Amino acid sequence: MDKLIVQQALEMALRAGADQARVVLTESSLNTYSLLDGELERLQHSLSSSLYFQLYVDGRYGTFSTNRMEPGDFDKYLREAVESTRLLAPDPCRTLPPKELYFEGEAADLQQDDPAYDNIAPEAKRELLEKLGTEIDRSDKRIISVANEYEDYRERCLTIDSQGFCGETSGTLFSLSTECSVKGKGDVRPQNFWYDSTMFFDTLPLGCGKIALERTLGMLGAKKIRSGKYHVILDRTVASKVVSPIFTALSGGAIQQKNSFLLDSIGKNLLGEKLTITDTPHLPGLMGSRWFDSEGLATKEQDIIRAGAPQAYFLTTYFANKLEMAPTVESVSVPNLEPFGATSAEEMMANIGRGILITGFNGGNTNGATGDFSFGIEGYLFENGKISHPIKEMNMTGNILSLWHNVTNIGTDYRECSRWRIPSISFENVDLSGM
Amino acid sequence: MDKKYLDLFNVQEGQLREVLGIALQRGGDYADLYFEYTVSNELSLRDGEVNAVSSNIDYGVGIRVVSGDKTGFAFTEQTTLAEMKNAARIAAQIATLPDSVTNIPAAFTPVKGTNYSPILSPWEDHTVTEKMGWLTSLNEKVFAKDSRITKVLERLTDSNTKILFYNSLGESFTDERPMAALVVTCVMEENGRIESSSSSRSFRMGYEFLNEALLDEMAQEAYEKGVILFQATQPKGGEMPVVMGAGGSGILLHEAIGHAFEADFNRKGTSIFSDKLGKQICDKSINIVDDGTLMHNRGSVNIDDEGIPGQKTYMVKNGILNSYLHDRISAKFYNTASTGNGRRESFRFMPIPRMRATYMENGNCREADLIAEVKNGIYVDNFSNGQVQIGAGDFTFYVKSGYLIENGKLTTPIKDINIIGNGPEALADIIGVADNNRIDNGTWTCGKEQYCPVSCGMPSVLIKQLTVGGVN
Repeated sequence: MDKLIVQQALEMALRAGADQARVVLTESSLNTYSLLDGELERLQHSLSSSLYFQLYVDGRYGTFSTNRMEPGDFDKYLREAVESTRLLAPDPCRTLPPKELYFEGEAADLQQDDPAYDNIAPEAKRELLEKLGTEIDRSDKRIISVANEYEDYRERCLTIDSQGFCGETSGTLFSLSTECSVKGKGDVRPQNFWYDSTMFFDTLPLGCGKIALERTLGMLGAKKIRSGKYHVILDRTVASKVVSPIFTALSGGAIQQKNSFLLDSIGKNLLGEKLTITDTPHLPGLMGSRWFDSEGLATKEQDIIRAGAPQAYFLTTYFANKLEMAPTVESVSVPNLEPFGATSAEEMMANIGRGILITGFNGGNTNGATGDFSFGIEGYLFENGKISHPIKEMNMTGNILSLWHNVTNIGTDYRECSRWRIPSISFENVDLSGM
Repeated sequence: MDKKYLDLFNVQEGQLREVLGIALQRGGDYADLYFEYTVSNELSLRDGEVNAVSSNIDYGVGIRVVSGDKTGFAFTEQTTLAEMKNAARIAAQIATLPDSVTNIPAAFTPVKGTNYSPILSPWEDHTVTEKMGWLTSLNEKVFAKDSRITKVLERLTDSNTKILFYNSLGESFTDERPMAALVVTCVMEENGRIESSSSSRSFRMGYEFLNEALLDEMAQEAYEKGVILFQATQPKGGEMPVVMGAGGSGILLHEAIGHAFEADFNRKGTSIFSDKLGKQICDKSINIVDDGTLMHNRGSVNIDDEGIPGQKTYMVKNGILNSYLHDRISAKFYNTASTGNGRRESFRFMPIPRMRATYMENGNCREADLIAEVKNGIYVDNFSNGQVQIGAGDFTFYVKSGYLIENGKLTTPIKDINIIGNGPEALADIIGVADNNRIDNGTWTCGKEQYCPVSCGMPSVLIKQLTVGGVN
C-alpha cells in the first residue's frame, strides 16, 4: 500500500492544527458472478479506496473520511475538519492509546491473505461457478429456481498515528453459495441456502449446491406445533445468535452507557458454570486472527468468560478512559467455546431423544439492557433421536442469562468458514410458542 | 443539462456518450451511468456534551449494462474518461455479442420529476455550533422528564446527495437529495433494573428539520417508551388476535407483503405472491400503497435511480393484488411500465426493486372498537425490526412494547416479544381497519441486499390470529 500518501495525510492533519491524529487508508476489491438456473445473471466488479482521519484537536475529537484521494482535495477538507472539531465541547477521554499497549515487533504471517488474489483469471472463477451450477439435478419437478454465486473480496488497511504506530493488514475471502427455491403445498415456495468460504482460492470447495437443495427440500411440509417448554438444539449455523448478545453486552459502549445486562459483571458467575469462552487471535490460517485492533492495541489470547463469569470488557481507549479502566481490545477476534457433552447436533439429538433442532432464525431481537430475547425459529421436531418433521412459524423467547444456565451440551462441530468458531449448542426448558 | 453537475463530476456529455457506447459494445440492451456526490455529517451527544463530530465524502460513478434480465455492473471512484471506459468494458461483459455497435442518441432529453424534498435552509449554511444547541436542548428536555433517567445519547445526521444520470435511451437527469435524521436514546434505572428506549425522526429536509416542537415530541416519546418497560413483562405466548396500533405497525406491510410484491422475486417465481396478480388477496375494503411522492418523506423519490419519475403505486386496490413494485428489468419482463421502484444504496450498487413509503389507507372502524372486540389478545405499537422469508411467506417483527388486551380493554404492559405470521394468511386475516392512518417518520432502513431509506404507515388494524412469542 502507498505509505507515502498516508504519511503525507497525517502530516497535513497535524499541520492543519490537530494535536494528535490517526489516518487509515483502506483499499478493497470485490468480484461477483451469479448464475440463475445455469445462466449468468449478474457480474459485478469494484475497486474502492478511502482515507479516514481521526483528529484530536485541543482536547476535542472528530472523524472525517473521503474517497477523493488527491492531496489538493483533502488539504482544504482537513483544515475545515479541524475548525469544526474546535467548536465541540472538550472531551478529555479522547486520546490515542497508551503507547505501551501497541502491538510491537515482527508480525508473523497469520495467513489471512491469498498472494495470488490479483492473478486469478476471471475464467477460473467462472469455471468454478459453472461446476457448482451442475451439482443439482434439475429433473426434480419441485425445483423452481437455483441461484449460484461466486464472490471474492480483498481488503487492505494501513493505519498510522502521530505516536508512531504503523500497522498494515490484508485479508482475502473467497466464497461459493447456492440458494434453492422449491414448490411447496399451495402457494408456499420454501427457500434455503448453503455456502462455503475460505481465505485462499485454491482451497475453496465445491459441494454447497447439494447441501442447499437438501436443506430446502427438508423444509417441505413444515408446520407449527404446540407451545411449551422444549429441549432445543441450536445448529452450528445459527448458534451464534445466543453468543453475540454476550459480546455486545461486554462492549465498552454498552457498559459506559449502563445499557448492558452484564454491567458490573467481571468475575461474577452470571451465565452458569458450563460456559467458558476464550479468544485465540494468533493462530495462523483462522479467519479473524489478528495481531492488533483498529487502534493498534495488541490482541492476546485470553478468557472472555470463565465458568460463567465474564473476565474482561472490550474497551477501546475512549471507553477505558471514560470508565477509568485500562484499555483491552475493541472486540473479540476468534472466540472458542469450551466443549462438553455431545460433539455434534446429531449426537445431541441421539442423547436428548425428543426436542427441537433449530436450523434457522427468522427475525427477532435481544434487549441489550436486560438480556430478554425473542426470535422467530425454523427447524425440526426430533423424536427418539431422529428428525420427525420440519417446523416453522414459531418463536423462542427468554433471557440470555437464564438460557445459559440451562445449557446441556456444547459441541465441537463449528464451521471452519466462520470467524466465530461457534458449534451446535443445546439448552433445556426453553419457551417456544406455536399453536 | 445543468452544467454545474457536469463540472462537479468533471465530465462532458460527449465523453458520456462514448462511455455508454463502450458499455453496449458487446450487445447489451440498455446502459446507464449514475454519478453520485454525497456529503454527510454527524454530531453526537454523550454524557451531556456534544463531543464528537464526523463527516464523510463519497464520490463516484456506477456503470450498468442490462442484457435481457441479466446485469453487468462496475463502479469507479475516479471519473476520468479512462477509468469510466475501463468500468464500462467490465460491465459490458454481461452481454455476449462482440463488436456490436449501438447508436447512442445525439441529444439527451431531461427526465422531468417533481421535487418532493424542497429545502428552505441548506445544511451547509449552518455551523456546528448552531446544530449543537439543538442537541443540548434535547438532552435537557429528556432529563427533565424523570429522575430515573441516567444516560442520554443523541445523534444528528444530515446529508446531501447530488446525482447526475445518463442512459443509452438518451435520457438524463440531475437530482438533489437531502436527508436529515435525529435519534435519541435514554437509559433509565429503577431499583437496580435498567431499561432503555429511543425515539427517532427522519425527513428529506434542510436545517428547518430542527425545531422546538420536534424536540418536545421526541423527548416525550423516548420517555414514554422507556418508563412503561418497568411495568412490562414478556407475556404468555401462542396464537392470539393482535391489534396493531397506527403508525409503526406499517412494518407489517413492509415485511408481510411489501417484499413479496417486489417484482424481482416474482419474476424469478420465488415469491409466495408470484401467481396472485389480479386476484383477491384480502378484504375488498383494503387498499395498500407504496408511495414515493410524500413531501419530505424519508422514502420519497423525485426520480428513481434508473430515471423513472417518483410515483404512487397501489399494490392492493379493493383487496385485489393490483401491481408489483417494478424496476426497468422486471417491468420489461412483465410488459408493463416501471413503477419507479428502481433504487440503490449508492453508486456502488446496481438498482433493484425497493419499497418507498408503504402504508395502508384508512378504513372506517375506530381503534377503540377494534380493541373492544378482543377477549384475549395483545395490542402492539412499538417495534424495532422485522424480517420475511419471501417464498414461505413467513414474516416476523420485534415488539419493544405493547399491552395485553383482556375482555376488550388494554391491561398489563408487555415487552420484548417477537411476532410471527404468514403474509397471505395475515393479510386475509385482517378483520378490521381503523380510520387513523399515520406515517411513522422514524429512521426506517431496509436491508435487502443493500441499505435503503424507507418509511411505513398504517391505521390501527385487528388481525384475527398471529403467533406471539412469550413464556409458558
